[in-house]
Amino acid sequence: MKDDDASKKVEDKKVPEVADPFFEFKKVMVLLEKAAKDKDYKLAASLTKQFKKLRKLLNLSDTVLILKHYIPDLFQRLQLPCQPTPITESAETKLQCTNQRALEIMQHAETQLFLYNLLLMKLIDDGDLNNAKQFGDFVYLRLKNVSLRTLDHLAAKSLYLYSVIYEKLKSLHQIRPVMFEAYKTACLRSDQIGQATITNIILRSYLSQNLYEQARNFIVKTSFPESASNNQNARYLYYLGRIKAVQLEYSEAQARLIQALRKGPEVGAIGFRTQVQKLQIITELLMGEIPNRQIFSHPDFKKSLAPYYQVVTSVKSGDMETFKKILQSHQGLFEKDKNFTLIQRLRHTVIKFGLKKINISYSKISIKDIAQKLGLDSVDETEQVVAKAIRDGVIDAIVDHDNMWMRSQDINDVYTSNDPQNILNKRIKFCMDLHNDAVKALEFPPKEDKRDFGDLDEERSTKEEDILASLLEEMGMDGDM
Amino acid sequence: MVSHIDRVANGLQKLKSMPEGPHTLGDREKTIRQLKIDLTFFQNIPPCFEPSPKECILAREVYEYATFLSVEKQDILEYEHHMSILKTYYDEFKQELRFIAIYSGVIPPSQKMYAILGLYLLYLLSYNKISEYHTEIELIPIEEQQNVYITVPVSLEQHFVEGSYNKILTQKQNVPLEAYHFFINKFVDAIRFEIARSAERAYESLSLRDTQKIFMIDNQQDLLSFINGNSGKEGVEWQISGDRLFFSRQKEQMKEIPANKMISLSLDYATELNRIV
Repeated sequence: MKDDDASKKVEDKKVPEVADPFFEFKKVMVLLEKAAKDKDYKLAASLTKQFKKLRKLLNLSDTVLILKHYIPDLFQRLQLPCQPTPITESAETKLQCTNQRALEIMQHAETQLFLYNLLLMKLIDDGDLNNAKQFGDFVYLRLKNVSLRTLDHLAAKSLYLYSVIYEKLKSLHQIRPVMFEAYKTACLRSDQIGQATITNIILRSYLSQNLYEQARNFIVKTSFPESASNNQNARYLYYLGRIKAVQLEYSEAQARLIQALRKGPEVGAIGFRTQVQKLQIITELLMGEIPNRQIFSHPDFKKSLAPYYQVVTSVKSGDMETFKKILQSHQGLFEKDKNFTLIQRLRHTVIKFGLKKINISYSKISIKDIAQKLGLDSVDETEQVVAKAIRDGVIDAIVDHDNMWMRSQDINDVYTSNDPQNILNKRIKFCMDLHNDAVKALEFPPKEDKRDFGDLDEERSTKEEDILASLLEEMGMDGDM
Repeated sequence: MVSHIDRVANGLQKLKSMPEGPHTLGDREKTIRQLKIDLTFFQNIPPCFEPSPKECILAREVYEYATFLSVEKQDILEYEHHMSILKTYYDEFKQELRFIAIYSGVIPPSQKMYAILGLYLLYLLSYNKISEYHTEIELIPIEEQQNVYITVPVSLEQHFVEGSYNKILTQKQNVPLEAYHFFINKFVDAIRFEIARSAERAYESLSLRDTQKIFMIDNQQDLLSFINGNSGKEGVEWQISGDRLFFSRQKEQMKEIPANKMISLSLDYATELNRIV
């Protein structure tokens, strides 16, 4: 982080406008080169964040142009259908980097991999999946042969992109053996970010085929490096929540999903957050609770959650007919979200809520009327449904079989029971967990070393500034000419 | 010398020609056992590197028969064993499921697959393995869930969760396969237990005649032993007085203040707070 900040400061001072994507790219390359030389793990990791910016700045042809300039022989070999951006001036001027220098930079695995990733991203963005797949295979093979700690974050990113390509080609399950191997390697090298990323890829590939049992077994047998990355952790929690929900452990699922939402990014990632939110709504309903209304009016989710909102209202009113209708009309969507079977389980909840309402409104009601109100087929059936609800503690009532009616019991004062205490305990626990998580998430500056190394740190930062300065000079020379 | 493939094929023919029913059970069991021994000579059935369609189809058919036979014999351990073998044949050979790429699409899906999967679902239900049941259901494509073999267990589960137990009993009469009866009967036993638990909470008293009807018990004798068996299971005494059955719930004791729990909780809070401050 610190290094990143430092570089930003320098950048602010000397180049007020940073519109030129090629210059941006070169800057990252130079820093990465430095990281490779110094074996600076942290700097390399923080530079991974630059992908986001560069992905926006560059288009595919630009990236191909960069590739042509920096790694010409790979450019020759790949024979991509996309032509590099046509340039009027020489490549050296346009890219602000001499051939000699480009060669020097690309000597490191880190810089190469960075460029590979960028190209993969752009190929995916451009929808050229077949070439992306071929190139991805190449990158994977290349990755297998190097072992550098500075590569961890970049490699994890490549694997992630690799899985994205396969998923888009609808063959995510094919890379599972590959991923298992990569996982093994990551564990042996105690490459945490790699472990986290690959775990998620494997889980995703299992879930893409509904192999919940296998996914669960995988989770049981492995441990997830929580400190690796918040985003990966959020994904992991979501997968965990889904598995638990399918296997009927709703409250567990619920807890995981809430955590996933909290760990995930607060802005952006709308797709992910909607998915989590949808699943959470369903699990909440399955537990017999009504989700918070606020979620549905959130501007990011309002539209996508509309069908789910209908489900919630129908469940809440206990109206079986409407529920069935909604289920039918949105079946396609629910199937796509993979929530259809879960939503089917809600039938039971609908009845529960209906009964609850009846129980509160009537002190005595005939079973026949209940059957009519709930839309159940026969009186016998209704009697049993009511009996079961009484046993499950949904309602407090007595059934009189001879007269065929249900008599509600007086509602107890909750404050005579232990419920308030339990709820209070739950809330306190939640706060404690939140606090503990927050403490864990804090980043502290590295402990000051008592030994005297002279002005190493200072030297380091000046060195960095030097590099950037010389870099700017190099470019300035080109630009001024 | 007859090849192994022919031997198995012939054995299978022989098995198919045998009439069903308890009197041939022994013979069929013997044939199956021999067939399974013959199968061990097959080189190219899973686990292997080059599955051969011919051998795989034969092996699958043998195990399908074996599965039904173990249900007929009511041998659950054996059933589980056969089922786990069969699942390899069903799952790994699917076109779209190519985890073990060499297996995919080698053999066409079996005609009996859904009958057997439906049976398996029923087995999971009747042995109260609900979470496995749901995991299994997710694996069945949604368009296939309308399959008559699958709808039986699915609707059973739905009625079960809702509590519409008598629907289950009506369903008991119309099942697509003879073999389903065994598990459905098991399931009904489980349900009777569930009804008993519901009834003792929901009713104050019942006339004996109604009780008999509700629990679907045929004669007075069984009813009495059923009542005795269930009395006091979950804190509710079942008492007969005259021609009525009374459920006497023990009045819940005046609640004590759960001192121990409260103390330990408060201490927990204190330690946590201590850690924060």
